[in-house]
Amino acid sequence: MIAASARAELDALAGGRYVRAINYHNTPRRREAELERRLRDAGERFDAVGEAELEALLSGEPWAHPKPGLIPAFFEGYRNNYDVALPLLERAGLRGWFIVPTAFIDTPVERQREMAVRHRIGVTEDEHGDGRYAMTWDELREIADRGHVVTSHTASHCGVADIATEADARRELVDSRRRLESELGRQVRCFTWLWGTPYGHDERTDAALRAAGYRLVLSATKLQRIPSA
Amino acid sequence: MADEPRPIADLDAAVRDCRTRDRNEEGIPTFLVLEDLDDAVPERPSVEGETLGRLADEYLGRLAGDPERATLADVATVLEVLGMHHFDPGPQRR
Repeated sequence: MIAASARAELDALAGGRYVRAINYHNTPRRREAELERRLRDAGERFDAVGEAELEALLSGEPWAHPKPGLIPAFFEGYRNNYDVALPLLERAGLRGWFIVPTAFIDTPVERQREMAVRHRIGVTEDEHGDGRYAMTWDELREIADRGHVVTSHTASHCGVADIATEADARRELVDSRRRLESELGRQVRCFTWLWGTPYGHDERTDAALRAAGYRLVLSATKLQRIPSA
Repeated sequence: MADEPRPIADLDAAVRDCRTRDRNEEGIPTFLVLEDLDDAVPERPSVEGETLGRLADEYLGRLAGDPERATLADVATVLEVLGMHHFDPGPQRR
């Protein structure tokens, strides 16, 4: 039960403290036309939100753009997000948030489908016939270099309840952040649990998130700036 | 807000629609509230925000029986229902 939090979230909405988001997973080529219409429409009605804009909003600065902000979020680091969604996003003038379980990117192509199934990562058909479902690090690096936001979604796509030991926390929170930072050459500050659990749900994993150096948590219902360690 | 912010008459159908969407391939619109755990985020009152807050309160009450007894899943569902009906119904539902 999260009665107090529910009240806080209703108050935040009423107080204008919110952004819009659209949460995507797979973006297969056979649905490209539909996605193009939707992102084009979104680009006409909304402005992009990067980490700097988000920090400004969290600091209480007024939204500095003519249209409301929108976060198109792409979960899991799918290859079809790079192939299909990225060009459409950019044509629409939007900035994507790519929320990536690093072990999926690191899994050899021949084991990606099995890894995905084992770790609750939904897959579609093998669009290219080569067994690769995840982006490569080169593709993810290009996404970050083009100004989109890349964030951690743990290493193995796990939830709060899967963190039983300090070693689990180190692997899923610390190592996934380090892996992203080392590959992308930039700081990673935002984190998302499987199932979108917010910060404040479990003191033990909250402390691990702080210790790992994250400052933002994107959950199913909110974007939180968390205290530093 | 893109669409007329009238309350949803058939909330059960809206929730059913929300819960049966193909999340693997279909974008799910929602609202994310902003929270700073060091300093409160200042309010930016607006007609839209007041309307969303009032609708969320009403939907959560209808869904959970009482907003004070709502679960995280209830809140997430209400934010998605608001997203679908008052911000982006999706290309096939316009």
